[in-house]
Amino acid sequence: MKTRLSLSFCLAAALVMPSLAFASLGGNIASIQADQVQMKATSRIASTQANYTVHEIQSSSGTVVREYVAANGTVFGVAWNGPVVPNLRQVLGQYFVPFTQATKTQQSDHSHLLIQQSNLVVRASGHMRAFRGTAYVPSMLPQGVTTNEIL
Amino acid sequence: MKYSKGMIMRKPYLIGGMLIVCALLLSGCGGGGSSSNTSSSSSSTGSSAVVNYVPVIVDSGPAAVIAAGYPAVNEPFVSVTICAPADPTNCQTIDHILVDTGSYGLRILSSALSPSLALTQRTDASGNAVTECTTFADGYSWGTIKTANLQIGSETANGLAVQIIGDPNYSSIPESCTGTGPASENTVATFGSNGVIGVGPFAQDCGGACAQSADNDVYYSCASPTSCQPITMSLTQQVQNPVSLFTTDNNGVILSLPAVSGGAISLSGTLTFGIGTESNNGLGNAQIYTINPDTGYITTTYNGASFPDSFLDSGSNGLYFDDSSITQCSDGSGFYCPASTLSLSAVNTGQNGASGSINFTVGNVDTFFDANQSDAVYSQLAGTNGDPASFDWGLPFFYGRNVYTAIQGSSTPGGVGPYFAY
Repeated sequence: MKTRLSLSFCLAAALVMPSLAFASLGGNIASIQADQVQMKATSRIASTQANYTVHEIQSSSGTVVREYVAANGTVFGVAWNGPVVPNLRQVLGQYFVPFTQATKTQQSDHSHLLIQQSNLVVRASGHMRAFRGTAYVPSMLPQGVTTNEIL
Repeated sequence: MKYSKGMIMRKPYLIGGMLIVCALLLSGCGGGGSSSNTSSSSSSTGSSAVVNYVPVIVDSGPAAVIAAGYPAVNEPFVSVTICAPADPTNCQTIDHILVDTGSYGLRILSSALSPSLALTQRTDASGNAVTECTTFADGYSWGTIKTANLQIGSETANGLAVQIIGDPNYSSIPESCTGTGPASENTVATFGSNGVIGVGPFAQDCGGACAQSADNDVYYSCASPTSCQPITMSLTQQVQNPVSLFTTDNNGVILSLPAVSGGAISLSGTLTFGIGTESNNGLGNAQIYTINPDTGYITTTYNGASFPDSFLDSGSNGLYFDDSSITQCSDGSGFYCPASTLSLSAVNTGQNGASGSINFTVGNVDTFFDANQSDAVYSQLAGTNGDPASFDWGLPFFYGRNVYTAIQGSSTPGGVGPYFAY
């Protein structure tokens, strides 16, 4: 008799982000689908472009996170928009530590953040109750995709 | 902002001396029917004169900020007086508190407070200390929520919730907080000032989101300094916009700064409390722009394109907007460095349809600061935003204007907030 694996997922003190169809920047969608948990999916495909798909995840805080997924399943860009900043450890994944170690440009202040490195570009802006940001890996951009499309 | 060119070879100032213009620019009368005054402004005895304004200084910031190599530019500061609730004679005046229309609430760096100022730690229903993770675009600030009495001018707010950033007794920061930004801003040097007084258009710092859900990771309950869990926080228990707790003059603020052509070593202006409540804070001929009640956004139209997520932000030190036709500085800083100064214009539109054009100037940031290293004021400072939908009207917009910020839900002669007016 098959026993059903019961997954105990820790209700971490973090923004509740369903791991269904969610991968971090630089990660791959396909690998996540293998461990789908039985959580309510609040993600959807927001749009499909010629060579990438945008997945949108609505969190319980009202913040929306978008993932820009190339044809091969790689998340080459992410964007967030809403009343609170999402858990960037989860959203930036392997790029979170480089994010914390990057040199902020001189433009950075309470309302702006600009990190421009060869392997990571992060732009964050906003004010209390209205935050936005984008992050992408330049080398992962599908051909023909401009950074203006990551919103 | 962190502007530093690194080298410090003094050159003769092209713009000499200190530009001090005492800037109480407001017209004498309230516009459109003044509200009835129940305040003491009509007192003829002179014993309790209303002083609903305080001086604002735009300078390089506190010593620790200058020493860190990042003197402030285009940042408006005021001083606030904080008293212990248990002993109203135990007070301290703290200078260089950033005036910020982009945030809501009073936050002070713990290191700027005297140890003898005994503020009361706020606790939740379980008796646990309440702490808060405040997020900015470039980092996060972690601190305890304490109760204090605030006095600024003759305005008072007693029993005010204040965030004490970098409280040494609560130095362990939960991962849910450290995951919101690239770095902590828990010292005067990293925060950029001794604190911030958020006088933006909302009455609480988090609003309904935190009243309804703990998932926002803003407020925390700490059973011990190393054991903090996110919690909900009702509207009345959140950190409030201190102006909304004044007994009078509590419906908004006016930030007035003189016009600046180019730059200056420093600048003096005024922060006035109340809109249409005294003889010095009427709307005059200011036009009202109502704003998105969730985000505070107005719409800016520039170069034929619409920027629907725009904002008037005194805590931002420049005009930030994307325009690929403007040359960026070669150091990759994100600032603009056009070959010659650009005279540009845009149109702001409120949710109420009110509309008006703004002329502004974009200068070459590198050239300016090479020649004026000690200037803390630069009216032509601009750069990219990174968000094509947003035009951030930072402090240069405030130079030469009286900018009114009306608090959500507050009555004013110009209608109920939230709105900006200028």
